[in-house]
Amino acid sequence: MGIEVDLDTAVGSGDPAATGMAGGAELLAFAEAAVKGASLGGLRRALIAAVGMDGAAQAAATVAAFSGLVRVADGTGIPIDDGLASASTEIRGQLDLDSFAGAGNSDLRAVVAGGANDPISLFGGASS
Amino acid sequence: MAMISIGHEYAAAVEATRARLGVSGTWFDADEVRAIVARADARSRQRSSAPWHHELPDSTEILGLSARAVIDRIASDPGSVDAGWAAEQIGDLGEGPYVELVGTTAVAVALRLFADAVGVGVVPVVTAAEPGEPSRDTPDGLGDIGAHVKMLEPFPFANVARALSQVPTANATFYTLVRPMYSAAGFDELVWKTPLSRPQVELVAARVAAMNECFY
Repeated sequence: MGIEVDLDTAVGSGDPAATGMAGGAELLAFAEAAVKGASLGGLRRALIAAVGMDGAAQAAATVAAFSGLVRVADGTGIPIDDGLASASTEIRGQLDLDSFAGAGNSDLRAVVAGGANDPISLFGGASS
Repeated sequence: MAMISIGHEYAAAVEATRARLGVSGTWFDADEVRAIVARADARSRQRSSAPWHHELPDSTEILGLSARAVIDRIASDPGSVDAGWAAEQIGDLGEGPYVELVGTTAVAVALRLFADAVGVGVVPVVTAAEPGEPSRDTPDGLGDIGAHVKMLEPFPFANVARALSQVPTANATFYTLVRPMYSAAGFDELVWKTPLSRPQVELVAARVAAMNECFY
């Protein structure tokens, strides 16, 4: 079940054409230009062609929501959730995420393998 | 110019958020909230131009130096915030005002990026401010979880859901916008029956977070 995703591509260091999902390249190009404040005209047209008008609107909304979420997370300095820290050790290493300044907000030495790995229950409060 | 048509849910979220930004907050009155939004919006609009070309609205002069510094950093370079810098600003402002500045700036930036992304040119500056005094209320039950500011503790969900909990009005405004724009389908549902699949949404989210060098 599921699809295989190139995580390097998701964070910008892989081949955008190799996301493993429909419209992946268009979604990434649109998101990147939107965050940078670059010209979007042609990218919007390509995105709409790839995922439809409603899909493009959802992509725009996701860009906006996460532009807010990252500012709240880094502005308040929240540490990574215990369960997510345990579950993400390998991925963080693969993507070099521990080099981000915000990693200093979390005591990653305290992460113990086998901790609670249920991010869905952790995020339940954010969707209620 | 190609534009993206938005549905009722997104339009309603934007309007509800703008309405919330037109009244006094917990630590800042309505005119100050309007100034915070205006400055954050200006910073965000000019994100692709060189800093020496930036022009900021005179109306934001009603905010103090530290408040303006928080808005500028959170709007322009949130990934560079560290504990020392945050402590310095909090020392000048107090924790509650700092949290409200972070939340309001985040909302203003999100509104700007949404407007730019869909291409409708919506201006997220609040034009009408209602009179009223900030309540300056601080909720009970705050604790130190190792973040820059205190927040509700204990808390059974993700830290990001309680990050602004020291200022409930700011938290409510933030999620008035962000919940419909991200998790309307339900965060705990792995399969979303939305125009984009859950993996497609998370792909966009991951790229935005990585570009902002957000570790969380």
